[in-house]
Amino acid sequence: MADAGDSRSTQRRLEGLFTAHADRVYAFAAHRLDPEAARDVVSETFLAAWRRIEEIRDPALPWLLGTARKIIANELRRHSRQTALTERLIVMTSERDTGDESASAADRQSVIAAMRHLSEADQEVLTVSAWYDLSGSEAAKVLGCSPGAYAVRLHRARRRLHRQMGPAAAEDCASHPVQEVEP
Amino acid sequence: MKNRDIHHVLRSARPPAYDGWHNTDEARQILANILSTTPEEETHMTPPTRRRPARIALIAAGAVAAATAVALLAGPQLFGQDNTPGSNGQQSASAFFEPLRFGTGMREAEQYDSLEAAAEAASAVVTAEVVDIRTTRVIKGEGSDRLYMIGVVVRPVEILDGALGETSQQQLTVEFIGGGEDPTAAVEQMKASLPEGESVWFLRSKAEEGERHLGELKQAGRTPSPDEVKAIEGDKPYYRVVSSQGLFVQEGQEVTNPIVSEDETSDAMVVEGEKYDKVTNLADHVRETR
Repeated sequence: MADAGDSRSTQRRLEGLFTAHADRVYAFAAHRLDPEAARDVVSETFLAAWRRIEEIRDPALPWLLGTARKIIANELRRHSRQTALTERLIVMTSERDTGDESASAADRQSVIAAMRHLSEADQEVLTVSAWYDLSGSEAAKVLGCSPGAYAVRLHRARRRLHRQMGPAAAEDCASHPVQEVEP
Repeated sequence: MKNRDIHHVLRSARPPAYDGWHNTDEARQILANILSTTPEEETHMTPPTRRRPARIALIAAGAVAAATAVALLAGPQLFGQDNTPGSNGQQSASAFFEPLRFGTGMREAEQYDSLEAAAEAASAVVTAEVVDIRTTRVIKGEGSDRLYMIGVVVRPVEILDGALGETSQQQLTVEFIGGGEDPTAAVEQMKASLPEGESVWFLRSKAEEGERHLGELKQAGRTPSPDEVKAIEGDKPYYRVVSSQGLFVQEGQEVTNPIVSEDETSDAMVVEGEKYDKVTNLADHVRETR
């Protein structure tokens, strides 16, 4: 009886995780892969969660995104290609009306254009910091590094982004050191 | 555009969040498929929170510690790649120091939370110019293990904090671990592209460390072994950076730490140092806070 009870409890936990986080995991994958591959990533990620449910502590999202990130990396390696994150971003942005008028379209284009010149690693740390409502330590967990290393990576990626955006922006970055922006 | 603005613009460029996707038929099907399996089945997944297996416990302290570490130093080969400045034509300070960057296989014993804490722990913080690079010695480990050491020879320009020994005030050698293979050829290439200008060094005297180690042994009622004495003697002429956090160079319009590992050992101290646009401004800060 106890086993059946445990099993139901485990099942409920997974259902809870899926309901709470599947959207975010799917988005994370779909931002990097086509929809079919993104669905596979969700499936593999939650399968891993199902098998390791006892090990997953709350908040579970960093664990899930970190696992999805590894699965995506394997997928990309298998097909010998890069994520072309900004290419996907340009397609996705043009496919929809963002509805977010808080930043001008020109600013968005400028940032996206600059990001295209950055390394995959820089693009990744910038987007993980901005898109998924994660704290610094959660983002570090997703990227598989220490919070300190994450802060340094983010700082350097932002600096390189500023540099790509032109001398004025780079100058401004130098006089305004990194400030971790927690959502 | 400020950092905060960049973050804001990036957020506004966020692609679709797919809210409610978990309620779609395809999502429900995925969940049903997973629940139809048993959770106990073996999987090859590795959760991101799981730490990597024990790695090289490398302590870049004196030879006493380094000799202990040499047997463990199977992973990092700092000169194993053709990434020396001479090989790619780069002349920048960052490119020069890149081969000396602490590998991700190294776990450092010392880490500092701030420039001030590192200065406090250093024998001296100096601005200095690089005048030479050379191999210094080979530390023998167990069996055929060898740890090759490399010395960056610097000329101190200003002591910002702490003190240097009398013989080190004109010139001193900062030792780095070069790895388990002879780095002579790479060092020769590096000689051809010594970085110009001053950099900020957070230094620890290995002679001081040796003395401290002897004192600790004495306090514990132990007599140092001949090997320990030899190692301490071998260390005496050299300095080291307090940790991979302890070097800042000018790179164009920026200050950067060219040796810190971007994996495990980085932290706020590096960010603090790199916020300055000029090494001279960083030096001013260290001088003012001593």
